Amino acid sequence: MTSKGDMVYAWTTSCDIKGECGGAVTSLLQHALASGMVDGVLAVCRGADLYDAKLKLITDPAEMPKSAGSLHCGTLLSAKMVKKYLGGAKEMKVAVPVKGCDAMAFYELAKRQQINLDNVILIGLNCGGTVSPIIAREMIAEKYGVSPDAVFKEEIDKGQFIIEYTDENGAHQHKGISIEKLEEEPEGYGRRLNCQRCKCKVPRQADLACGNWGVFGEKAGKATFVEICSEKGAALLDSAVSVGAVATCVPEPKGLEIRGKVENAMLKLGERYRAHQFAELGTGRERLEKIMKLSSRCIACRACIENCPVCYCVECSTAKPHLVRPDQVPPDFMFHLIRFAHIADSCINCGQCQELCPMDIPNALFMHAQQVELEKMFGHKPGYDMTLPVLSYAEEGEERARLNATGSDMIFDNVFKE
Amino acid sequence: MELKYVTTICPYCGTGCGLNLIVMDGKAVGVAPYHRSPVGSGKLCTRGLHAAAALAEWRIEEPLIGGQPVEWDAAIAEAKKIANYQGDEIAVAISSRLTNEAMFLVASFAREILGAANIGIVYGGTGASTAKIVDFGKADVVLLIGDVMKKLPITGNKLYHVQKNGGKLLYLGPQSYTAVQADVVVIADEYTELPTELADAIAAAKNPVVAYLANDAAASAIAARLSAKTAILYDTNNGRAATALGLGSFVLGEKTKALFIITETPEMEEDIYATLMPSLANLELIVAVASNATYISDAATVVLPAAASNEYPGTVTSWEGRVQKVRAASAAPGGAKCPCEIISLLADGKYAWEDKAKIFADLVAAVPAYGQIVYEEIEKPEGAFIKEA
Ligand SMILES: Cc1cc2nc3c(=O)[nH]c(=O)nc-3n(C[C@H](O)[C@H](O)[C@H](O)COP(=O)(O)OP(=O)(O)OC[C@H]3O[C@@H](n4cnc5c(N)ncnc54)[C@H](O)[C@@H]3O)c2cc1C
Ligand code: SF4
Ligand code: SF4
Ligand code: SF4
Ligand code: SF4
Repeated sequence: MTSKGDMVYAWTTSCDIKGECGGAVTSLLQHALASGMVDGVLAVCRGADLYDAKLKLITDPAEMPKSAGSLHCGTLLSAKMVKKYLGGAKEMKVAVPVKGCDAMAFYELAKRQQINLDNVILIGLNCGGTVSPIIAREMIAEKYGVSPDAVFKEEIDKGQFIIEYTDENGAHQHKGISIEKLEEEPEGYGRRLNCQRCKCKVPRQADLACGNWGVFGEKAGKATFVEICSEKGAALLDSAVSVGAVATCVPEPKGLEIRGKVENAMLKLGERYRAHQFAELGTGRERLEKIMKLSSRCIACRACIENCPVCYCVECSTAKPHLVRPDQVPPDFMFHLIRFAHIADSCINCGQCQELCPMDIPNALFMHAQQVELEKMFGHKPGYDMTLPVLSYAEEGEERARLNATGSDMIFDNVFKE
Repeated sequence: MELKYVTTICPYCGTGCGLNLIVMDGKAVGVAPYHRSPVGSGKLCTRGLHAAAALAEWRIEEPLIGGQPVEWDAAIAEAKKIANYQGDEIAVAISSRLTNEAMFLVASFAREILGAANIGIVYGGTGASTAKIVDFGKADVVLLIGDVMKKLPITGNKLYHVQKNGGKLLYLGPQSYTAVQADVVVIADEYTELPTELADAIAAAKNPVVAYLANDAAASAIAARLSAKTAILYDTNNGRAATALGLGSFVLGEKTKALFIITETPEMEEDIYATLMPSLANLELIVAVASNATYISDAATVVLPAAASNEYPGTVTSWEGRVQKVRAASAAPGGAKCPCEIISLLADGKYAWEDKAKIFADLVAAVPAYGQIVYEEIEKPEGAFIKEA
């Protein structure tokens, strides 16, 4: 029997599962499905190649092995998919593998009553960062001198981005370059910029936090390090062990020590990147001017809103003609101010509003820079628990329902307009 | 319950951004970014973000004669009456949003079976680019004629890379979004000559590129006099293929008595048929192969309901000449059929329609620009490029 706070090495007992480490995550998800704990698993599966990650709802346990393995180019924002397409898990139970930012998104939507977390099992994955697929391919061609199509495995380990590939003679090769070095150089290679700033390396807000950090000694490369983060997580692991789907052992003390050290080093690195990237934005008026200048490229396509895991309003204020004049391109700066006012306090730094902006506006940097300041002022740390942001209505859910009953959930229409 | 991603190409402009349609229980319900797209890295503009809606709005589900629902057999028989007209009385207007395969079949049908004298493309353009999207990254000067960044937003995105690499964007055209983004701007509502300051900057550049819209004849004339690579931007997702197939812009001729028209019109794009409207009343017969209800389908004698983009598989060609796969994400509603099947029915089975690889092979044999392409290469996310002789 395990309980919250415990840590184990775990591995699958199935030879069908070719996991990234011990295959424990795939086995746990398969067990959750087979035992009826959940109706479906929203898994991340390989698409055209290892650079292409796709979400798929798996309902047949036999299909689970297809989703084994880590896809380091994928950032899928599964929380918004659960909200939009799976009814916020209000009527169905799902299990989802999540990186830190995905887990944080689940909390931000759950506290706004858009997802019922009671019906969701979150299997956390430690995350050292992701690389955008096209950048990864370019970087492999330019910096490694290897055809990106020849690569069959990539990972970030011991501070290096390592690729394994087949050379012209058909032999397996591997090559690693320091991540920091790649990221310092002017081409802008390496991890996504938001990942460089990320400090959610071990997602303990999930039910289990799984990774390869800390697997040391005999089990190195063959087991998954699992930290149990909730009673729900403990129940899943115990149940999977009791039917023999997963085997576990006590972790090596040296492994625990290493894991702690690596996590700390990553957090320090994240802090350094924050300081650096935020400093480039300047301060005070200079920062405002920079934001205004870059925002003037905006075509009001709303990709940033559509993809933000925190945005969920039925009627977005940016589409209100009395706040932002319609059909103006670029839109009034108010468009961006509304987004800052509404979600900067809850930005979980997933980076998607920047990566998916057609006009390359560094939206996530603007948002995250503000979130960090707002957190200092009001103490709201988004994505870690169910605490509501101070700047929102204390009873946001009820308040929205009350407004919605008037036929519109717009605060302006209902509260300020006569 | 089933939820999966189907990777396909945006049905709107000629940039050819890849996207994932979110398919739930056989229906396309939304769009998710396809970060693996070599064109846009997952970025999409408003239109791409709403690609799933294109499949849903105002669909035609049954064949119609004079506005009344009929069986397919009756509709096909009625539509075949178009062959009773003389070649010079028949006009064929093809959509620039059909797949390469469907467009090729319609053009073959129009030429070989109808013998139509007037075959053209609605809302197409002319010209074959000598530049590709990656060339923007290498350019030191890019001349933009017209509001290209707004019309093809993700192509516009690549233009920011020019500035990031220390290059300059020059602009000639009316006041516009693109004008605001460029470094050297000459505002002109009409243009025939390149102003000296822009001409000098191009002449001094090492790797100049000129980018303009494929249906902008004035810009094309200016570009023809420059020694710079050209990026000829098609506003529709397969306008480039129409040019490769030798199809010019559609104009309804004076002699026309019967019109065969493909209206494959995703949401938000209805008014592309506006210029045709006033002449329709003079026609004796209009056969419309239509996925969505438009003014044209309302006016048609016979309507043959067709599958929309991303309801039947095939390939499309972006403005750079990149041939990419479009995949069927959901089934066409009601009795609507793949446009290739409709052509096959009208041609009494002369054309095989189901095997799209076979149609592509016929296209390759007929159109030299596609000759270099190995069909299997198109399956890859990078697609394959056509080569204009
Ligand atoms: C982007 C990324 C970075 C990581 N970085 C680290 C790290 O720095 N340190 C560390 O200790 N561990 C890291 N991990 C976790 C590690 O790679 C393994 O996923 C984990 O140890 C579980 O191993 P396993 O064999 O049990 O998993 P498997 O049985 O192979 O299962 C893997 C699960 O991950 C899911 N998955 C794959 N790609 C993604 C994705 N992009 N987003 C969300 N879910 C995904 C799959 O759907 C599958 O369910 C990372 C994982 C990812 C996805
Ligand atoms: S933001 Fe953090 S958790 Fe999310 S992908 Fe990047 S590094 Fe991983
Ligand atoms: S994604 Fe970019 S261009 Fe589109 S609305 Fe947001 S900031 Fe503007
Ligand atoms: S504001 Fe941007 S970075 Fe922050 S959560 Fe939303 S999409 Fe992610
Ligand atoms: S730029 Fe063109 S191809 Fe890309 S999403 Fe917009 S309309 Fe679609």
